[in-house]
Amino acid sequence: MTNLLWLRGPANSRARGETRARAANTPRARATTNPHYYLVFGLLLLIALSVPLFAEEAAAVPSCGDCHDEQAKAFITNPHGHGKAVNGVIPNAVCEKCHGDGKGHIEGGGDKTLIFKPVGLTGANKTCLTCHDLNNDRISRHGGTHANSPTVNCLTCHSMHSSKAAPLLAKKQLDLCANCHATQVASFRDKPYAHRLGRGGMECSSCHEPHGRPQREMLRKTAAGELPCVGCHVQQRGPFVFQHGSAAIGDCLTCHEPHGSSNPKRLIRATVTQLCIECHSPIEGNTLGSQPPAFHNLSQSRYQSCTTCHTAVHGSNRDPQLFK
Amino acid sequence: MTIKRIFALLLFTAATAAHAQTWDIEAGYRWLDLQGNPGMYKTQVNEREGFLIRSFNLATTGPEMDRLVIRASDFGTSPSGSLRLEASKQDLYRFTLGYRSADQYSIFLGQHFYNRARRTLDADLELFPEHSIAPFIGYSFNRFAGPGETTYHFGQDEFLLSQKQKDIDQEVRAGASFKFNWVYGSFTQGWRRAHSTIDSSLLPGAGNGNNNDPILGQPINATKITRHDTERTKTPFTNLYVTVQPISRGRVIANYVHLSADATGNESEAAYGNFASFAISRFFTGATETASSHAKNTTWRSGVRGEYTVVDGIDLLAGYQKDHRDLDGSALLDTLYLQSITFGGVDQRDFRDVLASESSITRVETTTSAGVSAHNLGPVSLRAEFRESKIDADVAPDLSEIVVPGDQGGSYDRRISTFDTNAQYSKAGWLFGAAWRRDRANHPIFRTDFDDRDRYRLRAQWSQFKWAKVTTVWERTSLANEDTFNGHIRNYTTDVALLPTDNMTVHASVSSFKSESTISYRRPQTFVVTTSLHNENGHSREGGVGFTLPHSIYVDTNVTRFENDGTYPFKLNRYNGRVTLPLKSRYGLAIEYNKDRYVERTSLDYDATRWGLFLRIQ
Repeated sequence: MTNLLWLRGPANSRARGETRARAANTPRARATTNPHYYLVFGLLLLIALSVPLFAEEAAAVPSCGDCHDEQAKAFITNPHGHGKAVNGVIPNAVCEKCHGDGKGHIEGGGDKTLIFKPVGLTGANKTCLTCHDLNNDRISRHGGTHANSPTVNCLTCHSMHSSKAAPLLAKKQLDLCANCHATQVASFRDKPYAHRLGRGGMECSSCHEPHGRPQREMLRKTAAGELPCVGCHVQQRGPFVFQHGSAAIGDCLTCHEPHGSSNPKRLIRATVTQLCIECHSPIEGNTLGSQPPAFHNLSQSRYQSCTTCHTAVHGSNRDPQLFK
Repeated sequence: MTIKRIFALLLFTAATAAHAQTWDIEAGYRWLDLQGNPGMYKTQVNEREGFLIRSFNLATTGPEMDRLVIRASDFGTSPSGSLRLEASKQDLYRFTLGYRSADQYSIFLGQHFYNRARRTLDADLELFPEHSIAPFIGYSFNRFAGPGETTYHFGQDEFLLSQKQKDIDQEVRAGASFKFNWVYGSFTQGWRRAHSTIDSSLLPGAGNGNNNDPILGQPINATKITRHDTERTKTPFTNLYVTVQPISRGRVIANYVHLSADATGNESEAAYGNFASFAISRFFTGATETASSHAKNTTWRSGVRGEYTVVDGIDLLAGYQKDHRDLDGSALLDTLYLQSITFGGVDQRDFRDVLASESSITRVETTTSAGVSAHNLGPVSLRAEFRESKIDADVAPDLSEIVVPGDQGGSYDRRISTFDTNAQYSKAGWLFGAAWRRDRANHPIFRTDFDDRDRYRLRAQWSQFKWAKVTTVWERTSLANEDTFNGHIRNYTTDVALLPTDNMTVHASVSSFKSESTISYRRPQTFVVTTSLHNENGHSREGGVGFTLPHSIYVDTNVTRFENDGTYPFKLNRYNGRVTLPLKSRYGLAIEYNKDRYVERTSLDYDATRWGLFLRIQ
C-alpha cells in the first residue's frame, strides 16, 4: 500500500495550489514535479522494494536439507542422489520422488502426518518398486521367496538414509540375514571350517541372490550360468577327461557343505573315507559310483584316507582312477 | 600383502581422501600370542601379527564423476581382504571394480598341505546406463598360486611330492542391456581363458614311499620323480535373457545360456628307483611318461517363465527349463618303463605302453513348475509351488572299466516331484513363518540320493519397538532312500536382542545342530555288509553386550562357545572385545581383543590371543 500512496503523490499536490506550481519552473523542480518522473521513480521504488519481498518469498520455500541436514548431506553420494545436487544441495524434487509433495509438511512446520514416509510393504510398493520392478532369469519379486510381502520387502533389508553397508543395507549383511536365517549364520559362526563372511569381502550375497527365485536356494550364477562356487574355485571348473561323476551328474554340493563343516575340506561328512564309501560300495541297485567299488583293506592306515592316492578327486586329464 | 603395497594403498587413500566429502579409515597394528599348534591356527583363523587396514570408506564426487565410492576392509595381515570402487556419472557411465585377496592354508599332510593365495579382480563398465541400450564391458582375473604338497601314486606305492601350482583365469565379456517399452533384457558374450601349471618333484627323504613292505621280495623306492603339467582352457559363453511385459499384470521371461569349454593338457614325468606295476606284471627301474589330453564341456540352458498378477499382490507362476550338458574327453598316454623285468625275474628290457582312452557324460535335466504367490493378503503371505524335474544321464564306459571291470557306464534317470510352500503372518510386532518342502523321487542315481525328502522350517519372532527382539528358528530335514540310506538334520536357534537403554545393547543366542546319517556299505576287506554312521551333535551358546560410556567411549564384547560331540568331536570357544575411544576432532582409537581356543586332539589344539590397536579417523 505504501507504494500506491506514493504514486498518488502528484494528484494530492493539486490541492496544495499555486506555490508548488511556481516552484516547478526551476529545472530541478521540473524534473521532480514531472508526473513521468514520479511514475518512473515510483516504479523503480516499487521494484526495489518488491525485490526483497520476492526474494524473501523465494527463500521461503525451504530446502528439505534445512531440517534434515544429515540426510541431505549424505544423499549427495547416495545412489539415488548422485548427480542431482545443485550447488551442493539436493533439490526438494529428489526427496519428493519417494516422500511425495512436501509442501504441506513444510507449511505445517514439519508436521510428520503431512509427509509420506515409506515403510514396509506399502512403502516399498509406492517407492522402490516404481523403478526397481525388474524380473529377469534369476530375479523375481513376484514369485521369489523374498517376494514383496508384509514380512519381507525392500525396506526390511534396505535403508535409504541410514545405510550401514552397501548396497544401502540397513545393517551389515550377516546381521541382516541372521534376522531370519539364524541357523545358517550360526553354522558359519560355530563351525571351524567355513567361508569368512563379513570380514574381507565374502558375504551371503556372494553366493545367493536375495531377490531371486526359490529354486536351488536362490543361488547366484556366473555369467556363464555355472554355480557360484567355480567363480572363485576356478581350478575345479574343468572340463576334465575323467570327470568325477559326483561333480558331472551332481554338483559341488553333492560332497561339500559351504555353510561350515567339521571337515577341513568342508565335506558333508566328518571324514573323507566315510563320504567316498557311501557311494563306492557294491550293495544293490543300479547306482552310479557303486562301480568301481572301494576294494582296499580299510583297517590299514594306508587306505584310510581315499584322497591320499586319489588326489585328483575333482577330475583328471591323465588318470581314470583320479590318481594324478 | 607386502608393506610396500600397504604403503601405496595408504598413499592412494590419503590422496583420494584429501578432497572427499566423507571418508573414514581405521588402521593399526595387531599382536598375536599363539599357544599350541600354529598350523591348525593358520588353517582355521590365520589372522596374523602386523599392520592391518581394518576399514576404509570414502564417498565423494569429481569433475567426471558425480559419485565415487571406495570401500576397503581387512588389508594387511588378514587372510582375506577386499576393495570395491564404484564411480559413475549420471546418464554417462557406471564403473565398478572389485578386488579380493584370500590366503588359503592347510596343515594337513600329504595332498592336503598347501599355502596358497587367491587374488581376484572384477571390473565392469556400463555406458549410458539409463538409456534404451546400455552397452557394457567387463574383465575378471583370478590367480591361485603357491606351494603345496601332494601324494603321488606310482609303481604300487605313494610318494610325497612338493608342488608349485599357478592357475590364472581371465574373462572378458561384453554386451548390452536394453529396454524398449515393454521389452527389456540383457545380452552378454564372454570369453574365458584359463592356464594352469603344476611342477612337482620328490620331497627330500620321501623316497621310501608310504608302503615300507617289499612287493614279492623287491623293495619299492624312488630316487627321483619330476612332473610338469600344463593345461589351457578356452571357454566362450553366451548369455541372453529377455523379459516381455505387454500388460502391466503379466510378463514372460526367457533365458538362454551357452558355454563351450575346450581344454588341452600336456603332462610329462620322469621317475627313477625301484617300482612294480601290477598292470603289466613287471618290476622296473624307472619310467618316462608323456600324456596329452583334450576335454570338452558343452552346456546350454534354456527356459521360459511366465508371471501373471491376478490382483495386486497375488501372482500365478509357471515355468519350463531345460539344461543340457555334454562332457567329452580323450587322453593319450605314452609310457616307457625302463629296464623292466617280469615278476619271475626274466626278460629285462624297456617296455613301452601306449594307452588311449575316451570318456563321455551327457546330462539332461528338464524342470516344469507352476505356483501361486500371494504376498499381500493383509498380514499374511503365502507361496506354493509344484515342480517336476527329470534328469537323464548317460555315462560312457571309460578306462576305469579296463582297470576294474564293471558297469561304470550306463544310463541313469531320475524324476523328482517337489512341492514347496511357505506361509508368513506378521502383525503388531509378531511374526510367524512356516515352510515345508516335500520331494519325492522315483529312484536314486547316487546311493546317497534321496527317494523321499521333507524339510520343515518354523520361525517365530517378537519385536517390541526397538528395545526387544526374540527370534526362534527350527529346521528339520529328513531324507531316505530304499537302499538303506537315512539322514536327519535338525537345527535350532534362539536369538534375543535387547536395548534396555539408548546406550546399551544385549544379545544372546543358543543354537544346536544335530545331523545323523546311516547307509549300508560292504566292508572291502571282509565283504561284510555293515552300516556307516555319521553323527554330529553341536551346541552353541553366544552372548554379548555393547554399551556407551561417558565421552562416547563404546565397548562391545562377545563370547561364543561351540561344542561338537559327534563323529569328529571338538570344542571351539571365541572371545571378542572391542573398545572405541574418540580423541580430538575426527580422531579416535580402537582397541581389539580376540581369543580363539580350539580343542580337538592335543597335537592339533591351539589357543590364540590377539590384541589390536587401531587409529580411527572419521
